[in-house]
Amino acid sequence: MTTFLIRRLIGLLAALLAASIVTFVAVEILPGDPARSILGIGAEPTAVAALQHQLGLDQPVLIRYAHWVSGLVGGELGLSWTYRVPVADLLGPRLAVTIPLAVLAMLLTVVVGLGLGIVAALRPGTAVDAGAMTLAHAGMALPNFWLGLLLILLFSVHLQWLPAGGFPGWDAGVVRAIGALLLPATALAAVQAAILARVSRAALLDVAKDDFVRTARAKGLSQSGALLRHALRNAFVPVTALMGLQFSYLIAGAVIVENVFALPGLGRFVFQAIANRDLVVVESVVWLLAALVIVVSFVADVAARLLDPRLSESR
Amino acid sequence: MTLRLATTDFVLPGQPARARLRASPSLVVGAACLGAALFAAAVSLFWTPYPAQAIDVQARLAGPSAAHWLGTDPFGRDVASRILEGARNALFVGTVAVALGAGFGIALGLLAAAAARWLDEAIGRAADLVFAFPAILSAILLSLLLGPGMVTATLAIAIFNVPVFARLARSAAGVVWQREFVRAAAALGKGRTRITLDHVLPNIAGLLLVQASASFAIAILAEAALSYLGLGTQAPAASWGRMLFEARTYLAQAPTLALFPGLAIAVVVLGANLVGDAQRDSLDPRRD
Repeated sequence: MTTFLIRRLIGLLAALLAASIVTFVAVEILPGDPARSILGIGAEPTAVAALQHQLGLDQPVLIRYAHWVSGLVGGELGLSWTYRVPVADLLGPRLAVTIPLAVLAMLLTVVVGLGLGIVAALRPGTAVDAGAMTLAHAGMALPNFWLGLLLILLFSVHLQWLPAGGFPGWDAGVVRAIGALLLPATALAAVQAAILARVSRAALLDVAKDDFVRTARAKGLSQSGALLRHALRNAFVPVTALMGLQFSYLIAGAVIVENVFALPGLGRFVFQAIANRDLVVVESVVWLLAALVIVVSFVADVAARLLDPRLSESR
Repeated sequence: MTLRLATTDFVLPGQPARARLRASPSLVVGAACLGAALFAAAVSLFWTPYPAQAIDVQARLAGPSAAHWLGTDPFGRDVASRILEGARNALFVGTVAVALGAGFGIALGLLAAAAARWLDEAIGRAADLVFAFPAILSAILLSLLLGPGMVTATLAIAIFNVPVFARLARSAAGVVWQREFVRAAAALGKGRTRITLDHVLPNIAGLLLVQASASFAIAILAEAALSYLGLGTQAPAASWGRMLFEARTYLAQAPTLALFPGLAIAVVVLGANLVGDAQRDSLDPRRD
């Protein structure tokens, strides 16, 4: 297990580093001079040169990359060109929207997805199973931003229960803040819950055919009892691996859903930064989103390994 | 990761992954959905009720009627015509993106399976890295480089698909390479390229087709999402995602505007998913 952890940790660091290279190179090869685009076309060459120096753009590429990476490690991400404040200060409040949104969506995904999957697997071939899987099929076909619009139409425009968008901030109270995140999280979770329902059903039914479940049945447990007490943990191995991947999709999906619900999270932030050509922000946010995806899949990988009963003796 | 878990157990040793597609309810419904979208796209090449870009301010935000079957948008453009044209753009981006992603991905996966260990490892790591950039992030980076548009959306979705197909092809091909008849062919002096083309590829083609259906569904969703965000198909060209974006402002006044483009997306995605399911069932050696 220790060797596995060390190998995965090295892999994690390598992936984070590689992601930083990809992001840096992509932003670096962009056409156009940032200093000129900030100051406008009619700017004095001396002013442009001064700003280039101030932004560190006159230094060699490798030095700038090293500077940026050491900043990433130390939390010094540079100065936003549009806001004129450190990028790190801007990220905090936005992460306080995107991370809770993704976590809330993940909770909904797990509760609804696993729930539907288990219910369907306990009664395979019945109307309950067919109903759950039809629901899952429908869920998989719904684009999250469309579902978002439909939810706004129903719960905000017609019923007026929940806000159509915006975020009051955590200072306004946890209930109001979560209320503002509920519709976006639902829109985000639907597709992932549908996928999880299908995969967990298939994984459970797969394990149900194994010998140990038959033994448990022979010892007098009911089919449901055998599945819940013995098969669930085994079925959880592929399901955990999937959930890690799903969290990544939720973070990516948040970029879209935040735009539908006008939530001031990382997704909206990166779009405004693109519009303003605030490359320091784009660079940092894109890397941060990719890093989140990489770290979560690492955690899921390790968790799946820890959960796998067949590998427990190697621990 | 998931793909391997979900699919390789269908390729059992001694069990060819080629199987005939059976007419199941999934297949029939799925094919009907995809057929309808294809028909709509084809028709839009020759005919739409109105020119899809024709603005008629007098008729703006009209509900469904005999003159405008699905109503009109804030510019008075005919929604039905724009849905037909949107079908063409969505299917085009989806098909090209999946074809590109699958082409490069499968080639890399087959190469990794047939090549030396270090190359295999290098391709695997590179695939993992690209996988860490969801299509939306690649699209953001690409839109900075190329500007937003259909090409950017297509490329971003294609790039996202390369590691998906590379990983699947690699793991499925690895199983085939262990099989007796492949070893026999190698012992008889057949080259790695010939073995890959004659034995490995045909044996994993079924699995790759299943993945192509799933990827196509995701590509349609991604194209719509990118267009919604303004990174994909650009105005005035019609795109289902952009139509939904424009509907956002008029939710209270004209709710049907937000209905039809979303339904169109859902029908195509459902169709591709159902066809993929039917293909997967036909490959499963454990089916009765």
